[in-house]
Amino acid sequence: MGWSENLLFYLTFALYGIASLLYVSYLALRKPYLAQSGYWITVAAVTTNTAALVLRYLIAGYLPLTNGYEFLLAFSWGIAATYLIAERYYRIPLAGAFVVPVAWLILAYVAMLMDPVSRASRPLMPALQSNWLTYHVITAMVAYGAFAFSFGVGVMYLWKKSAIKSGRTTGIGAHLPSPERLDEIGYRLIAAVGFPLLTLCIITGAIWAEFAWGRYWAWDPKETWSAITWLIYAAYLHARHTFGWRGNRAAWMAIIGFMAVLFTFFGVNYFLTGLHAYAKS
Amino acid sequence: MSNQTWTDRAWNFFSSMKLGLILLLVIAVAAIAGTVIPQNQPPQAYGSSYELYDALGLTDMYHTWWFLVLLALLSMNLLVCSVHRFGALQRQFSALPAAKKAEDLRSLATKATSVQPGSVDAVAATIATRWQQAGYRVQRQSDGETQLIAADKGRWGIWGSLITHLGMLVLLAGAVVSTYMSTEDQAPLEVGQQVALSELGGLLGAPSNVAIQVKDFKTIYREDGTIQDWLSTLTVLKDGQEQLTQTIEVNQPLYYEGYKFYQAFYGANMVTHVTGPNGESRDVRLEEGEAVQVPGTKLAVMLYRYVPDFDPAIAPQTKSNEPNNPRVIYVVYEGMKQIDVGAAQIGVPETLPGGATLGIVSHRPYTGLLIRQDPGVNIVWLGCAILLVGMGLSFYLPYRRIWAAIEPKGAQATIAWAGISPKNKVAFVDEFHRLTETKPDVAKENDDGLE
Repeated sequence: MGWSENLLFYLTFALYGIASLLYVSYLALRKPYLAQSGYWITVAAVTTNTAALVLRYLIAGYLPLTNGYEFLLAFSWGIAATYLIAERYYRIPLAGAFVVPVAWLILAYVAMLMDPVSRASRPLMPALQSNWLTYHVITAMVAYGAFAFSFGVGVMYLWKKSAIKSGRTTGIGAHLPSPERLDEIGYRLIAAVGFPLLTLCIITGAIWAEFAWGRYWAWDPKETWSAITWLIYAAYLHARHTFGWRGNRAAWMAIIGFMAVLFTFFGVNYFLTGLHAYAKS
Repeated sequence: MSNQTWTDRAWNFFSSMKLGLILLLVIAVAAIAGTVIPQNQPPQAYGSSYELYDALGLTDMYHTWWFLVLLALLSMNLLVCSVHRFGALQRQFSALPAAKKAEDLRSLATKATSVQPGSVDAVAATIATRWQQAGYRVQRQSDGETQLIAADKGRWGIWGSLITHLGMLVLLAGAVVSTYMSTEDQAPLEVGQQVALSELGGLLGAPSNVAIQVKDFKTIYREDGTIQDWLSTLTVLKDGQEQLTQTIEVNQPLYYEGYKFYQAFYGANMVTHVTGPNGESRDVRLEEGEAVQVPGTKLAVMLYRYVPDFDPAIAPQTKSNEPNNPRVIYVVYEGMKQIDVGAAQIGVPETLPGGATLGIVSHRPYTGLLIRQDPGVNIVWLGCAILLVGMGLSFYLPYRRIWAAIEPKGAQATIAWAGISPKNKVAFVDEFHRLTETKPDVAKENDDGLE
């Protein structure tokens, strides 16, 4: 990687770090200026994150979504951008303390565990040269961003509940939005963004596989895990609509769902083998 | 009579949402097992567990009978649930929501009350117009002195969930067709060669008068020597007549009457002639990476790589894709030890250490085609399309109902309002207050919000 790519990467990494710090301080101190500055630093981080992706596009000559480094850079972008949009919509700056650090941790993983060779842009193997791959990864990125957010909201929900149960009127728990509101926001993130886009992600992946290998579904571990994630969120939606599973159960399902997302992305590459092996490193 | 009870019981069993939910989770858990246990490996790979795994179907889990039973149960559940709900959805879709009296509206979650000047009729008319302009279906009726208004919007959203489930059923049906009716085979073909589809054992039922012929095959390299793509120019022949000629590459298969021809693999056959020091010779066809024993010696020659435009300065990379100086890089081994490396010209014998000779008579690249016929694919795509339409309706067109009960109070009118939108509560609350020109309950909002 050239110096300009490195610069943008570390700048993005640092900005997410600062934004996370500001949001976590806001959680503890609740001074509005902390949340305000956290928001604008996140805007700056998303800007440099976008610039890093654009630069990689210019260097590689294809949409930068094919190796692990590129996808993680896009994943952090998806999480932070989803947060910024949702923040404008729902006005819950406390969620920043639960969501922005996830974007930062993903880049910390790149900074600490990925060697320069595996970060560099590489020529695409023939099977990866497809527009369907681009749609496949973009939808994955947005879906994963929404799931990460719903995970953060689920954690907030459980925290809030325990604060209410213990009768605390001060501290972080007391200042979180009401449980009903958190529950509803978590639900909308999954139902209106995460689940439909995960569905699109799986379908575009199947179309690509049909073009590349003549098999739209091969039960490769990554495919299977994406289907498992889909089934978990489908169960979440059905449990909610027909059995009224809200609150604690919904929060836990959102947390479990995001664990499945993380395993689909990281776990499968490191513990299982399959066609998606090129996404490793 | 007992027959009736049995079908009733079966119907109730399959229309239960509890069954659906359990199936979703059981299939998810079962699918995990198949990603942890390697699938379709030779028996040795499983060691001593093989017999147990084999008996439970765990070596090919996604096609084992009990996994297919789970999918069949899910399909039955989807079908019965859809049929079961159809009538109620149809009624909800065609009829407006029933009018509700003021006391009934108080039990709903999103509600408000307000007082407006004017007669009951005038106020009711204003509300009805405002709601109509907002795209609602409105119905007004009188109940003594009271006017009741019921309205709804987004009623196509009612069908979302049913359409989603039907899409899933079509998708699963397509998967069944794929599993049982698809055929495929592979064919390595050199340029100029052809094969009738019926000669390929895997393509059961293929027409015997259709053949595929390779007109050209090229490997495209990048400057750094990595492979960018493979291009095969194929001609489809029917009764010996050319039907279609097209160049395929990875991600761009050729379609002909239900058959798809994919660029799947590649290679080259090198007709190789080795002569030992004693004059004994051997003729073999080798691919890259394969080796032959030199007769009468302890040496073996491995053909490492074919280079179309050889240049000693950048070998083993090629200077271009054109065969300007085709060479085959070979390695001579004595046991495990490399003792010589060279680049043989095609058709010119090379002298090996110890007096043996190596001749590469010809280099014949072949393209590896995957030929597949799968009548399930388009059914699966249809299912996906229906699924996406259903999800769009379900998640982005939430069904909303709103009511007003207007009662006279002197020269004024008191209005009780209420609304429901189970799938989009937060956004609906804002819309509700806009439609009713009321303000949210401030005390409650403070409890909700942060600031």
